[in-house]
Amino acid sequence: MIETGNGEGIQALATVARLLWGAAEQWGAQAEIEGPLSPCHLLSLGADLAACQAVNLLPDPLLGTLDRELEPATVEAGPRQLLRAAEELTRTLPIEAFPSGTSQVVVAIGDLIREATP
Amino acid sequence: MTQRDLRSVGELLLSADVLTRQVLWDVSGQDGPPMLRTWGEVVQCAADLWKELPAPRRSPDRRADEVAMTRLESLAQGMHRAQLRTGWPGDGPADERLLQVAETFSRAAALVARYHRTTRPMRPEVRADVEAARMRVMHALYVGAHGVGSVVREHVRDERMALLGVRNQRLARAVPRGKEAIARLAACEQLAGAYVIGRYVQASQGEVVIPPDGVGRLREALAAWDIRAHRTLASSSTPANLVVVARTQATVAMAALAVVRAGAVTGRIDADACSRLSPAAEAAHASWVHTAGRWSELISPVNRRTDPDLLVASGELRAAMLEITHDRTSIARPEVMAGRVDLAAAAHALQQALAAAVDVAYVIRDVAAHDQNLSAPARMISRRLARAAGAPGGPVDDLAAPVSPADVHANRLIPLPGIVRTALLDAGNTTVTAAAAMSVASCLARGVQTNPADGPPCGPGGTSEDRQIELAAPEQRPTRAR
Repeated sequence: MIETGNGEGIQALATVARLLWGAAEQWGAQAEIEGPLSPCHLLSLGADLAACQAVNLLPDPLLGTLDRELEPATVEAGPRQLLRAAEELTRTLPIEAFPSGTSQVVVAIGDLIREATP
Repeated sequence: MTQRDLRSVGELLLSADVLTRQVLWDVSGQDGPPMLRTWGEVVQCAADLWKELPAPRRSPDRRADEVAMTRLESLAQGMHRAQLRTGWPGDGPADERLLQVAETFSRAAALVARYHRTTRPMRPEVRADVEAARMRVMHALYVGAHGVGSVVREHVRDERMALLGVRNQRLARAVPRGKEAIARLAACEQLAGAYVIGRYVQASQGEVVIPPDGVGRLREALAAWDIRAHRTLASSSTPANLVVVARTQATVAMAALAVVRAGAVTGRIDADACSRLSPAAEAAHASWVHTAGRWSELISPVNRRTDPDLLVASGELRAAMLEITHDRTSIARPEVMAGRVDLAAAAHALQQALAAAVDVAYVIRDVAAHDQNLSAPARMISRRLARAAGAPGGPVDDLAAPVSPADVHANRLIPLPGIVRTALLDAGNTTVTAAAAMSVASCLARGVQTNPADGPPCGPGGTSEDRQIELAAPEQRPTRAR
């Protein structure tokens, strides 16, 4: 795989993956409380798939940083806010700064925000 | 196995248009040479398709439009000749996305050549659809020429930067030849743009769009998912892949539950069948969620990667289920679901998927039982062992070999201890049982609703297809004895 994107973009994408995982976990926990017919199951899966897409674009050395905890204030804001934070982060840099293939992650996040907005 | 392309001409052209738009996004200067090598083929295939499309009505003010494609074709041929003459960008790989665009145009041309009948006069709506098809082809070339031109410009800039303070003949040749290519691509963009600008919206409105068949998409997504999940599990049964498989299967059970209940409320599915299937689907859902949770504990930063094809298949299935079962952020009301798709058909498709899930459950359980290479992050194992030490009857052998502090500190992957493997096996066994119970519930649901004349009962003599639930609407089923 040809590595593209700069260091800043790759770091930002790693944070996007962590935010998406955070959202997936929170929706998963909510779904567990609400039961099998909770609408949060598909949202959780969607956030998880988008996070996996982002991780697949990261270089190996950066995978170790994915274990870092998110800021407590960010986590407490809820899954929708985590999703919005991920989307905002993708807008802080031009698309060329991110690894090739990031546009698909951006589209997936956009779709999720639409699905999660009442 | 080669999969047949079942897309219509309209779908193929839309796909080509979308693919060329992608060229504007994820590209860098180093994509320039592969794109230049492939661009000629794209234009050639577009020209072939153009010739196959029925000719538009002749009018003096459209004459320039009629020759637009001929001019584009000769421009691309000129570029190709220049590439051969100058040896730049030379031999090398083609650009996969543009190659796909070219193949899509070729496929569309083959379909038009095969099915178009020239003997009948065209109806106005057909004429409008053909005009929209021409517009799509030209728009794809317009966007593609701009995308390739931008990439080549970036490539030339990179080469020029690399030339600073260096004497390199190859690089020195690339700059003027790149500029020549940019000029030709700009001409392509202008020609295609002249056709598109001011008419794109109007022409696109004539496009015949067949409304999506919700169940068709669901069926295809379920079948593709089943194949992909089996392939991934066979080739790479990593914890990250297993978690995606289990979580997706859990959502299939959830969708089945939602559809069956909605079907029962709206009268599309027998209430007895619903009462038998619902608890089984709930149990299947809970067991898949539990399995996903157990396997997710084994994921560490270094084994987080997931099979990209598995993600695509899961994403498509998720989207197919979402458009049936969800209404914004909540589960859709039964009447809304019934208005979208035939709930009996949707439930039938989901039931087939749940029946096939038994096999997936067995595969996952076998991985837990037999894969000696399984490992888990040291911190998770340490926590598990600590919890087990506090619990009565915890496994003594694992406690006798505590995790090294260095492994915990670095959170290294270490071989799976018995206690964690047992938890995975338990989860696997529960899922196998729940998936099998779902299959049996399907059989019972069939037995409740159908009379012997409908087919063989579920059992050793019945085929797997016989074991599908009979979920047809009451009015569609054969009437019982009067």
